Amino acid sequence: MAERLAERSAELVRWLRRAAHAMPTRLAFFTISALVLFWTIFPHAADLNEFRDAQVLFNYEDVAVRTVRKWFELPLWNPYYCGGLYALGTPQSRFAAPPFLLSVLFGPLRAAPLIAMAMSVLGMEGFYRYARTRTASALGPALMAPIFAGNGFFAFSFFHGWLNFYGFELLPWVLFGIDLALRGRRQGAVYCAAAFAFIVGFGGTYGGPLAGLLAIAHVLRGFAESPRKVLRASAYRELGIALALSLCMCAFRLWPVIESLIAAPRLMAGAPGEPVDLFRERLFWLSAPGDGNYTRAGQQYTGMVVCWLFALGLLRKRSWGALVLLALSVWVSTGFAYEKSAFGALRELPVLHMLRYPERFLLITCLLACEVAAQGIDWLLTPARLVPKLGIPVLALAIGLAIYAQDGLVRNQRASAAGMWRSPAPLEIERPFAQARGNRWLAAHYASISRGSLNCWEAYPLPMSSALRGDLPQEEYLLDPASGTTRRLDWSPNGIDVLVELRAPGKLLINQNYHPGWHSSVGTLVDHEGLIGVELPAGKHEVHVRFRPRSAVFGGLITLASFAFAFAWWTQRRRVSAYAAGAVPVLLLSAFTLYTEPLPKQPPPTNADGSLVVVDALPPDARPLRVEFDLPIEIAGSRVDRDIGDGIGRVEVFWRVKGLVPQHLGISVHFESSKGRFVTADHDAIGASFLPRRAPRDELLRDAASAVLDSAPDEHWRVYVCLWYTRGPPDRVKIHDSGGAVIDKDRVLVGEF
Amino acid sequence: MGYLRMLGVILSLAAVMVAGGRAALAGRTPVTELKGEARERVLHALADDEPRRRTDAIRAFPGDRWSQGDAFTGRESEIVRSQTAVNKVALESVLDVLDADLHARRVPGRQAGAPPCKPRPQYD
Repeated sequence: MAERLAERSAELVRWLRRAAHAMPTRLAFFTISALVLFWTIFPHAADLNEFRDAQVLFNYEDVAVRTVRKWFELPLWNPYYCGGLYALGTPQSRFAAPPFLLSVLFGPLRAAPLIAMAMSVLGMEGFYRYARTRTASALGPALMAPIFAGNGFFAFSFFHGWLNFYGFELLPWVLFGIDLALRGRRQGAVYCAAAFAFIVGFGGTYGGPLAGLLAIAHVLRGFAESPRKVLRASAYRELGIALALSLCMCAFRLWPVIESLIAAPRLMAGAPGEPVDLFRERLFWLSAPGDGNYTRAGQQYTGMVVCWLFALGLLRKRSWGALVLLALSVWVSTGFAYEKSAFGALRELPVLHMLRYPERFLLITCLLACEVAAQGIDWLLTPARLVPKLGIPVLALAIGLAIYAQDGLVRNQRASAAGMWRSPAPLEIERPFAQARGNRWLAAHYASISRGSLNCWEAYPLPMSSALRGDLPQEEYLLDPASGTTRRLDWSPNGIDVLVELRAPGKLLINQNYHPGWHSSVGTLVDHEGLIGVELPAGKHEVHVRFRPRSAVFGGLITLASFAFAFAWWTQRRRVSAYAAGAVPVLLLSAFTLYTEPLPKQPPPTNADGSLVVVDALPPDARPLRVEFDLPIEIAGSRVDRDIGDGIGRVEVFWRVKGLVPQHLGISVHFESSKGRFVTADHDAIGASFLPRRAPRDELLRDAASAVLDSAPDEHWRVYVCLWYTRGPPDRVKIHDSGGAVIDKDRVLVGEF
Repeated sequence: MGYLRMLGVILSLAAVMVAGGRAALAGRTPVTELKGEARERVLHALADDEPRRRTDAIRAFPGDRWSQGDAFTGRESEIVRSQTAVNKVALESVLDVLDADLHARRVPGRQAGAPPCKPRPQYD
């Protein structure tokens, strides 16, 4: 009897291992797991997520779907938001990836849960493949895959409408590709590059840089773990190809995004961070959003089971590499909570200085924890191999733990979805497109009524014309209305046809933002105060204005060439791969020699009140100063005034940064009245444009600040300015040389009124 | 393993079909448009208060044009939502009332544009 039981146990374990190993059964398990996870979301598939970020992100996807469905065009330009923006160059739009097909097929609303589910399945399969390379049995990775892919971070992202963060599901594919490349396998470079292209195309503002960092760390781990393998030349070759192929495959999206961010860099101030002990709320507490907002609880819900299995997994030496990376990821996730900050070091690097939330690195922690937990299941199953009669109890324990863990994730997902703020699907009003004043808090509701929202929020200061209007009788008009007439012939997001009759040479204006990617069939297309302008000769013209940016055209061609290379490389067609690789430099050369298009210009940095930051000299009515601090930064002048009518006091401080200053430096502005009142206008960035550390050197920088004073006419105010360290004890920066200015407690008196 | 593979394919397809079906057949809440006098009423609720909301926004964010516009529209969105709920109509219909009015008449001092996007460096 005992022998028979042992035989049956061993048979069951073998059968389950084979089922986990076989792709169809594994995918069935993953698909059903994802279906269970998202089950309660589907009944609300036709509803709109009303969270503020979801408004903007939905607009991007909605407009892309409309562009394809209604006009059969590629979604390159989005005229429905901010007065028009380069859709492909906006880092947060997610339409440039395969899930967009679901949006086109089902519509952007109904596709959202399907995309989340599909990405989860992709994440599970990626995790399985990655973890499987490190376990003896297929069962551990298969059981832990839904735990990684169902992490609370994804529920948190769905809640906010950040579907683009589902790109993180592809992180294991990047690691899997690197593992293969380290073994000298050709497929490695292709997996790695395809995963990167997917992440970047899917709006990976965080996903892309994070995947890049993780990839570098994983290569180093690979070097450390198996030095003999990586010494093979083929490993270096494959890693090199993975890097080059990743860049080229991402070109269609990376090029436009880089151009956009160079023209309008994202400024990220502050010192976010939280101590490690608070992570238990994120990782082990179920989410409980209320009133449309999430608390810390459950934001990266993983569950305690992973910890138990993680502890078992650490008994295996091969999991120690993951442990090192895991510890690093926890450290980065704490942000600036401790004196030594890994996140702070990352923020010193190009691109990464735009990262905002350090706790998002906890997802990497969870990924690595799940990898080690899969080893833990492997460890649990080892006795079953040695003592067959232990098979069923051990298996029951492993499966029971996995089910318990997944139950926690399902409950977390449901709690998260239950707290979502939803409204009915938007009403459709078909009519000619026009700009409206708009409202970014309701941005998702404008495209369906054929209106664009000029009111705009984005994470970066995207270039917008101040001349845009939401009350025009015609969206295409002449600068001088008396010089002729215009009539719209045809309109689509990427193209506008206008019949223009001019009695004398004139300028046609289009009520959308200028971008160098716009081209006109007649006359000269120009930037008119940030609007699209076309200078035309006298006469009758059919003007065809089209958006064909170089970065999309040639970036797309480079991506196509890299896909051809990837296919040829995978299938070992050497001649094809050589041609495809050769096409890339030819395309790049052609892009900059044959295609006439100026690079997008960076608008001059401005203060929040619209005044220019970089100035040649002090204004005539400014007060010259020469106050030198203990750091290489000085105050060169100041100007103060107040308006009794609106009760607002204003100060302009003219700074000059002469060398490297600390990362965390704040500017304090104190208004002190003769009646004992004290008002502040503290801020982090000079002119709302530069953190002091990244400010241009040796330039005169105007830094404007205002505060509501509501002062009585006889009230006398003194305005003081100082620098202070925003991290650590809040000390003020000492003044090295006052240059004759009045100093009070390390503050400079910059003016009185 | 042949049967097992077949079972896997069938189960996967079934799960995909169930998900697709649930998404495609999810009920859509019917919405109606604002008409007649209700449009006038809603317009007054939205437009009459604009100067005061502009002043509030200026005082909330002195010297910060984008934040002022953002605060103004934030308050406007609350009124739009409340009018949507009170009149039991589509939110887009309420937005359309405001847009139609802006396109129909120019009122001195009333802004028809928006300040260029300039997110605050730190807004948490």
